[in-house]
Amino acid sequence: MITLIQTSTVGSGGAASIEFTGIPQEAKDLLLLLSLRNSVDSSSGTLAFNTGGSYTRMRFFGNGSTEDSDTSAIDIQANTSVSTANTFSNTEVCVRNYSDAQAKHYSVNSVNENNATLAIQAFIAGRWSETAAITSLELTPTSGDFVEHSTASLYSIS
Amino acid sequence: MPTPTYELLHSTTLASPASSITIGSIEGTYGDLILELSYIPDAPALKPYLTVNSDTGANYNYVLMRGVGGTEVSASRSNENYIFLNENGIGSGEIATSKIQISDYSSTDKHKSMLITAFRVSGNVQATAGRWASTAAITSITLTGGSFEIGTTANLYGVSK
Repeated sequence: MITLIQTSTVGSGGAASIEFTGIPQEAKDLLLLLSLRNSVDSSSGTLAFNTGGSYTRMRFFGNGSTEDSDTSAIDIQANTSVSTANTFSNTEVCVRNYSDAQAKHYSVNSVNENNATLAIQAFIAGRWSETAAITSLELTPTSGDFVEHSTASLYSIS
Repeated sequence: MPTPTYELLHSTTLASPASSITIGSIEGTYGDLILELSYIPDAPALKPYLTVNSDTGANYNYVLMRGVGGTEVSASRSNENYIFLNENGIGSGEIATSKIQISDYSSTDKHKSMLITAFRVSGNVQATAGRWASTAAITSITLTGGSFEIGTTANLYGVSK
């Protein structure tokens, strides 16, 4: 069963980050669905759980003409200030066994839809080194702010 | 009463190592299946693959793309005996995750298509589109390919349409 925990919608003026706190611990996995656009020409952003710890990532992506894979510190792709007007990204993040006492593994399927020839789709494998249960989650763009009408919805899967 | 839209049908957490995981007696009352996996290899390395309905005939076809950190691969496989979740395998002590989505799994008038994503943070990421060349309804799913360690989890969900 999928249960909505909370939806966050960015208001006028934008937001430097989107945060969820007090995440319930009863479920198996967490599912995060994102629709994001950045205020500047920068598509990347990161995900942070609780506080502290380190992150390891493997990203595989294509942009319509080339493909690549790397270990960049990127968890999500957002549309940017130069994307087609009114377009937002589409991202699914799944965090497995988020309350277990082991390092947390998450997967990301992210695309910044753009109605143009350049659009990035990325699959990302991530690991957070900490063994504490995840009780909070924060999304932050690498630079700039998330613009108005960006949304983030957090669900539990049980 | 409507069918729940994302219903947990089966949940396994291994309490001892296992050479395979089978989820059987899958009811045909949902539209799609989603299998969420978090797997830990027991030594030697695990190279997990999927079969359905205990069919190990040459009935599996798939197209994959994979990134390994600077090297990318796109390939197709025809008339295979199974579908690899991650062709590169997973080293001992690592944890990898996969999501398997099977559309119209209970239909009896079409081959079964599936989308598989496999995530291995210290190795590679693979996305696979697969087809089981049978019109039979899927009633069981088996994962094999090495030894699954204690703590491996498999959660199967039914999605109504």
